[in-house]
Amino acid sequence: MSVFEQPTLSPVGPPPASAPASQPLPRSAPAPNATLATRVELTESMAIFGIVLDSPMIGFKPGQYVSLGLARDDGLLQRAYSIVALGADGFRVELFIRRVPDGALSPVLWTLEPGARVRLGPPKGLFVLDADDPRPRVFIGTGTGLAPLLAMLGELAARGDGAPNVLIHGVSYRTELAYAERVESWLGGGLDLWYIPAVSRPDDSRNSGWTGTTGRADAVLARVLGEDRSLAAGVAYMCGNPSMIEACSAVLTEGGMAASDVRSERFHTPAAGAPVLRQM
Amino acid sequence: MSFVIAEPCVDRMDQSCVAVCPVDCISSEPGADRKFFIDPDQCIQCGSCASVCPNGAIYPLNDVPVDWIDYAWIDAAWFRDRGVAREVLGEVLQDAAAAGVTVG
Repeated sequence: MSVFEQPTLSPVGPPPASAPASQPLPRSAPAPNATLATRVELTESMAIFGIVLDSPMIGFKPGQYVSLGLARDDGLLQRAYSIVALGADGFRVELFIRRVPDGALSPVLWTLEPGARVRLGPPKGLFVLDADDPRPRVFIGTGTGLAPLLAMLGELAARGDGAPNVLIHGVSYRTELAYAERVESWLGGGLDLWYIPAVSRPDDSRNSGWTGTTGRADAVLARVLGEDRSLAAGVAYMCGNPSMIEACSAVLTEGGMAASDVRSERFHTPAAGAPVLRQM
Repeated sequence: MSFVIAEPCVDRMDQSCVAVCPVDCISSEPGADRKFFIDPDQCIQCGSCASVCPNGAIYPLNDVPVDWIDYAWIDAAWFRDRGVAREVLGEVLQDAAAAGVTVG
């Protein structure tokens, strides 16, 4: 993999030695620790980012997220993104990101060239796969909410897991159905997986020719649970916008799944004009 | 706007929030503090902390219950002067106790 030379970044100066007590306590400004290697644009607003860390990430559990930060003149601008995959050597991190039109960081990410230096935080989050649970698993992701589910399924594929799995990937338009080839390669590798890509707007011209599953994620889920009653005794992993998670949680629990077995990660979009993160 | 850790954290300090914060903006000094504090200058409003807090102690700034609005100031102050923040927290807790509100 080739990356360009590191661009020069404006250093954040140290706090004055005699800072009065009312000033912020001295804090080390986190320096860039990774390089953007690739950006593959799937649609106008969805892209897959390949980032190479200077030193390997430690302690990542499939399902977790990481903060991605860019040095700006007035500090470090950060947002959290779920990890799609971490390379076996721990250096290469893959992120699946939606561009939020009024977002603070994502529009800037679309302007970066390979070689740009970025800051990745440590892996965080409690939405993680319990790979040793032998029960059926229902994975539901909408849009880029597929990201942490891919990390989980990749782990299961690598382990040669034997439990039955269902993956519902809900999108508005068929062009947003990312990672189908990767999922299908896992199927070919023997993973027990019922893969259901679904578009929620079948009548839109952008979905013309689509002959697959249609409907919102919760409606598709209800049909799936109706076809395979054994899934209700399993566990669910969901990631996406809060309204989808609420709707699908209701379908799962009404279908007989224990509330404690319904696990989710919600994607929040901070309000426009969110404060830029400053590292003093 | 950021998130704020209010009174239900006092003397409970579950720490789940610390484990999930992607930008490590939640802090406390072991042995010296009775709650955790969110740095409003670093918080990216992801809401992860609020979603995992077992004590329901964390709110977006605009949604902090009125009785606990002082905690927004206390959280911000802690990152500038811990002593002052602890002092004000003590006063707020005393006032709450005097008003008959259950604390901790």
